[in-house]
Amino acid sequence: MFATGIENSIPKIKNGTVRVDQMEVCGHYKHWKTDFDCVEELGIRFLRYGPPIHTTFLGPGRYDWSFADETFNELRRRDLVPIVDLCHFGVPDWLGDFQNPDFPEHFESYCRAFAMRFPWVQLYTPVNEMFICATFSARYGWWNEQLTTDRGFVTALKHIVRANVLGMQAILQVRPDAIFIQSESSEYFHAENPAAIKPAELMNSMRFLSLDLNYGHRVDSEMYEYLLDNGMTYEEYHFFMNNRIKHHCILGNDYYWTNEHRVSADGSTRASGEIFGYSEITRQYYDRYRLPVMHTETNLSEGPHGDEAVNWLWKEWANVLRVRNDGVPTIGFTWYSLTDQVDWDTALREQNGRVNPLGLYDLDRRIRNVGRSYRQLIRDWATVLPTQSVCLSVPLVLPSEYDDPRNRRQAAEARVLRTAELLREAAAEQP
Amino acid sequence: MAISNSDLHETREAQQAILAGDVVHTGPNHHPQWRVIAIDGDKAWLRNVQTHADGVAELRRCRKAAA
Repeated sequence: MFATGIENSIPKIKNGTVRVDQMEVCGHYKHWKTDFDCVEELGIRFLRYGPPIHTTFLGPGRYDWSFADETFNELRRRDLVPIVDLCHFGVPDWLGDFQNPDFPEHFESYCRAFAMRFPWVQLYTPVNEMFICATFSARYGWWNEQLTTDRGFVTALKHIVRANVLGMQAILQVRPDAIFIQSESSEYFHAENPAAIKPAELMNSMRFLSLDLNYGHRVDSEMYEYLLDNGMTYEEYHFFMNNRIKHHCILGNDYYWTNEHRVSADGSTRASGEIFGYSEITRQYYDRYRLPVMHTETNLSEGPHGDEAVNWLWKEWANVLRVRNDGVPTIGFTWYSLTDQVDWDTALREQNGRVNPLGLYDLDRRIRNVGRSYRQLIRDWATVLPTQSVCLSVPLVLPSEYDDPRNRRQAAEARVLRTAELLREAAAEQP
Repeated sequence: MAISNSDLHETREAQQAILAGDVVHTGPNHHPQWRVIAIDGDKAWLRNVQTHADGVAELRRCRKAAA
């Protein structure tokens, strides 16, 4: 699956007084039809995309689906497969921020409502980059609640991951053959001297927290103490450990130049640049979770030579091939995003109007060199990769196939399996 | 190979006289933009107008950015 995405980050900044809306500043609301033309022009079939939650989810049980109806119906008409991103770094105003304990259950209802309105949608990323969302909101103090405490971070993290789990469960009630392609930052922390080994090891444990909780993977003892010391209860932890939804999931991971860090003895960090790279780090994540993998985000800004992003694309693709050829089931690649972005050079903390030239197209929807290269890469590899194994493939139902009677059997089988899963879970919870 | 709408819109301009101080782009897209710091032969020392990162590019690739 070759994919791209429409950047739809919506955090609040400046102590909750300003809403960032990347779809607005990148011109998607105005140019969405042209954006879909561009996706097709590149030969891409899969699009990471989602309705703007802050203008769609108006209150408990209240929705404005007008923009989603237009855009998703058009995606279906074009037979483009959305990987639906329902929460990208922010919540509607009426929900406040990620410290709100009501967020998970409200998000669950939103996911259910979306799935019922668009039952032909099969692929989902309920909450995007959960670890980044919690870190930037409640440890670094950059977005939303703008906290800088461990307790704030753990509170945000447990709410975000609980929302993701409940969202997946709600979607499965509507679409039992739904597939969840998580998009999470894949990181590594390098100790820059022996005294930094301890803090680096701690950070390397912490980087797995969101996915550990999401997939019901037991955390190590140090992380368990950290979670409970900072407000997670025994019951909350076991909610995550009793979650049996992993087999509906693909581990989507993101890799940027800033994903690897140098750690000093005092625990401070700075970007190290690429040391291990995507393939080595992905093997660490695969070894932990044993899930099929998809590279769900990467990019690099174009520079003075015009080939910087092109070279990054080819290098990332080589990494994906390495992972695949080493036996990790690898199902896709994503250049994120379709167009240039704005103000990500300050992680959206400031509104400077600075264009980040990292898209497949610029904001005038003129193709970039990396867009041309990605188009060629897709042409070269599209017919090669599906033959890796005909026995292991994503059970995808295209939008055009949703009403096909032949796919009703898949849906019926999925519903039987899901019912059996829920009965087993209920039996396991009996004292 | 099918020609994209974007490719059709790309215009080819005659080589312009580029001087230190000019704001240029080095590809068919209008961003990133660079201020020319100095020129030496066929190379231009460029500074990104947004990030202030420096780079060196071939002078022939520089096109003056629209005002």
